[in-house]
Amino acid sequence: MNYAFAVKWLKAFRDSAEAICELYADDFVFEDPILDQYQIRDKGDLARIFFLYANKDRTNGLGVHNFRIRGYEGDHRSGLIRWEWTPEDCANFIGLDVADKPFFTQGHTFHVYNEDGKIVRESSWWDSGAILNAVGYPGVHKPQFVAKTAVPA
Amino acid sequence: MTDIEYAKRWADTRINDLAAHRALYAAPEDFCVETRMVDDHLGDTISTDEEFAEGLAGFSNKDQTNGLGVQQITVTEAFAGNGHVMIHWDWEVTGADTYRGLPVDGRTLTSKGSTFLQFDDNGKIILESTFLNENPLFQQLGLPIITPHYWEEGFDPASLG
Repeated sequence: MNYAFAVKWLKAFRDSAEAICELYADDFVFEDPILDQYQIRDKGDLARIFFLYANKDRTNGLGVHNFRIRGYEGDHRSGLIRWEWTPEDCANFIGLDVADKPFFTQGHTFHVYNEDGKIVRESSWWDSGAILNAVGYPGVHKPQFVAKTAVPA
Repeated sequence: MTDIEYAKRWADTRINDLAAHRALYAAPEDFCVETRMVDDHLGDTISTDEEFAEGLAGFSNKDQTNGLGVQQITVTEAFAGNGHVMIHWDWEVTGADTYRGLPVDGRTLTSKGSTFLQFDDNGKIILESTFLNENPLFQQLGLPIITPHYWEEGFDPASLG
């Protein structure tokens, strides 16, 4: 769609599962393979996915999920939203003890929209390895080339 | 060339012919390739010939004995748009000594990935955004990564905290 829609989409994440579900067409396919979410086609399932992202209780361990848009590439019928995700006050994240360990990651979401501007196809992916690096999981290195202008650590 | 055929050519050249792969992209500093979270563009964003060669060399390794691993990328879907395409692919590596520093111990690692390509008016790639699903890889290497199906009816979300 555009940058403004991407912001609207992420603000709806933070608002409620109901608000985010309204942005999807009745006939939709949602996928976030990093969380093993494939071929989600039911609004009830979608609402339960987004329940987590709308959590507003900093004490229940589920975390408050701060997303920021990096950019949008595409047009009104399809495109890529690039985003950054900083879960705050999580106790556990994908099985990792992250209590009091700040971390963030980045990802991208491809959307296809129908003529009414509703999402009919979503494909979301993100860098989970970056989280293992951030929380200091033993033995996991970051892959990186070294640019000629890089300053040694 | 259809979009799925273009996607297959992109994947085939990525792992078999880096020079042909480079020809799919725009001129140096007119393109960016990002294949993970960008912490520092100097180490995470490929935008020159030198970085392209160094950063993507591992994909085209064919020596099963040097420990770098031999990769396969198999395109499964392509979603074409106006000046862009989103590609879904399966990924496999054999013969790698390590993955992100973790010992592989002779395993074949498999997962899935996605790549978004944006083109200029000449059909050259000006942006690549790629993410590989690493959770299955970490699981295959024995790390305690979990992806509970909390969206399924009856799951107690409180158990995630």
